[in-house]
Amino acid sequence: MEIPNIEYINKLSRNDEAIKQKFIGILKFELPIEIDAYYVSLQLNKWSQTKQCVHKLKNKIAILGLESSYYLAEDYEKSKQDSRKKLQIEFEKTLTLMQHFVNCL
Amino acid sequence: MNCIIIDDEMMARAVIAQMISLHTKLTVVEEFSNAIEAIKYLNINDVDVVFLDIHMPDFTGFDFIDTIKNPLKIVLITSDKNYAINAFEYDCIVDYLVKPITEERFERAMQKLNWRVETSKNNNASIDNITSNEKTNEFYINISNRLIKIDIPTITLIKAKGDYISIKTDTNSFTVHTTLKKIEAKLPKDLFLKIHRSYIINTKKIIDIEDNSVLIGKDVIPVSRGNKPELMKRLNLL
Repeated sequence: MEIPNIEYINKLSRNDEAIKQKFIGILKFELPIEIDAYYVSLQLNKWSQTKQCVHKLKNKIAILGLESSYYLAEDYEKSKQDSRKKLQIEFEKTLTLMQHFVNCL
Repeated sequence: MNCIIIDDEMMARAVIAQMISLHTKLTVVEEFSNAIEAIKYLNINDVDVVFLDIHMPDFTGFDFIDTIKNPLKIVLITSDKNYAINAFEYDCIVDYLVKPITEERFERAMQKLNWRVETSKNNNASIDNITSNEKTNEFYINISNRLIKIDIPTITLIKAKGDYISIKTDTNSFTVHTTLKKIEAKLPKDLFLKIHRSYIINTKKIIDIEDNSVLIGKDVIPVSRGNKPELMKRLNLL
């Protein structure tokens, strides 16, 4: 499985610690909200809403350098109901991985 | 020049703001998590450039573009490449950035933006060559160093064509290097109406209206949803 990283944030912050911490702060604040929104809409069986949550999370996945997971999220977002379950499991593994990584930053 | 950022994702706004500070001389005057708030802001503030997310709940980036009255320079931002085709339909869109945005790609977009700004300045110079006289209801257009008089009431429609506009009159058609916005300012508001982002029509020349289109001469002109109520107001309906 891919390992998240903050290379994108490091590059963008030009080694300015304050800017880097600002980005990390936003990640810590926003990621759990987006993950919660995903699980809530999933539980409510509202696929169009769930799809929007997956779409939004794709940017965080990419920012954390998870390239294959980004494509997986894209497939999941566009998936038909019959092929969704497997992608859902993998996508949710990515969410757990990201959340754990961000918690440790 | 100043700009605003509209994106429902805080992280995306922060990334764009940082790239703007690294690669441009633009000043970010405000950030918005939804387009409706941004529209309210634009109603009372002048902004040169908008960094706009397309995929937002309730009110999308395209809804935003269709709603704003004054065409701004817009840089679209999205995670979905499929919207690119729609983007080409809008003259105001300078470029289309796919998340996660790389600095190299952002820089290219800013080069395009600078080019557009320069072109607009040239357009301003060009429109200065159009001199109007509201009292006599005419203006002059400069075509190949000839000043050609256009009687405003004879204009049937004006169409935006990239960096040019096409002016159709009862008898002729002219292409001028300027923008719809500039020409709109020269036209009497009681006679002319912008019914679509690419069209201004002379309302007195309407032959008929069907659903979301207007027939003027032999031209069928689309009417934007947002502009239809104003058009209907102008009509002397029985």
